[in-house]
Amino acid sequence: MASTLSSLDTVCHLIDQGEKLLLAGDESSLSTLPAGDWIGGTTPYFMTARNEQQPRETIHVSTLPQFIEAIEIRFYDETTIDSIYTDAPANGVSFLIIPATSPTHYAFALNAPKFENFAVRPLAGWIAGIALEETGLRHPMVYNGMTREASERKAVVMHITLPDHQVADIGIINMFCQGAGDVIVFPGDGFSADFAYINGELRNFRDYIIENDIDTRLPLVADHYGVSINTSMREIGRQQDKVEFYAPVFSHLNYKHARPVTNYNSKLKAQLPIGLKQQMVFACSCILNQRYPGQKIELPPVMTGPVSYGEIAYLLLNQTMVYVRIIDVPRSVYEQPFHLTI
Amino acid sequence: MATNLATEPIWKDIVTGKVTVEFEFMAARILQAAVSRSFKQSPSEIRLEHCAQDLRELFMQNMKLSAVKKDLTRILGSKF
Repeated sequence: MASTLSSLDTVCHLIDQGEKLLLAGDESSLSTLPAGDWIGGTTPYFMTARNEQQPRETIHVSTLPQFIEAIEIRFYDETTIDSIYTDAPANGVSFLIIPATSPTHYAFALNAPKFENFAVRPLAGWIAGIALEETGLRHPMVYNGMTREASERKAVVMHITLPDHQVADIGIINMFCQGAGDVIVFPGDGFSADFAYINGELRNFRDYIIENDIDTRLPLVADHYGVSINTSMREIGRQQDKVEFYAPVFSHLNYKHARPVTNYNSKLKAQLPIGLKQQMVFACSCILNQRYPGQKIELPPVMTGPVSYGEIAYLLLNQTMVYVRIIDVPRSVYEQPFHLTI
Repeated sequence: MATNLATEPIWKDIVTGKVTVEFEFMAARILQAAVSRSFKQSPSEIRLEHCAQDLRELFMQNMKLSAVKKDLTRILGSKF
């Protein structure tokens, strides 16, 4: 298992050797790769220990372990994405890449928790994007390496089957938790909101943000049974009286503005499990983490991957880091698991 | 002691909120939120059965993880 920044030639070589790869890079590189067992998505930014700028032709490569039993690569669109969990193998993990602002992105973001078998099988991935300065000029793309097809509308998935003695585990690193401020409830689900109930009182949400001088670099945080789910603010309407988000807000959740994070880097390290280096197969980090106020983020070398426009850990997340590790299970455990029957 | 996960009432109790647990296994927390909401929106015996089955399946498929073992011990106690 390896996760590195590589040149185009190196990636071609890995594909020719039959390696199973998760790739991230520029369209000009990904579109020239040969057919093989890979999926990819566009991003110009990478999460590395030094966070330095990389040449445009650089590709981030997550090489999947040799012991994988089978893979299936396919596209899903906004009408078929609801079967992603039922299509996933019983023992395995599925990696999903969705182009930002595509119909499939919106369908997944808004509806994933309602999909058949939601969260029963591990699903992780990221939202592909483009350089911020190229917004409106290019489209985020994803690639099915097996057929060399690209799409700006569909999501690409690699379903992976693992042997019995391996199990995939998804982790979310979220630096944010709810602050002590107002309780915010939205009247509907969506990627934008014009109104919100602030401590029970219906108000224009844009006006509320401006009047209270709320730092929009910090997300709104909802608590799902102990899992903090962030929603980051994308734009405070200049022309329209609304606030746009990078991920949807949901009407059934109580949000609060995040508490600022102190000692960011030490808290980040504390959230990483022991032994991650040997088990890690994939990681990604939200582009919004790059602009955390006043903080130079120090990542451990094991945390490399695409910088994303949203992270996927069962559902769409914002302003987090997501990782997938594959854990060896001792033979005694998987051969004689438990005294449980179904 | 052996227990039959399929007939354990605990899954339904978690879906309905009769039993509240803060799971260590992250996927269980996320699924717990989704099934509880789904049941609350349209409560019926069929929906309850379906939601409970999803929770049960998640645990069955991930029993190799230490977080899952801890959660099962927590919710099933001495039966696990």
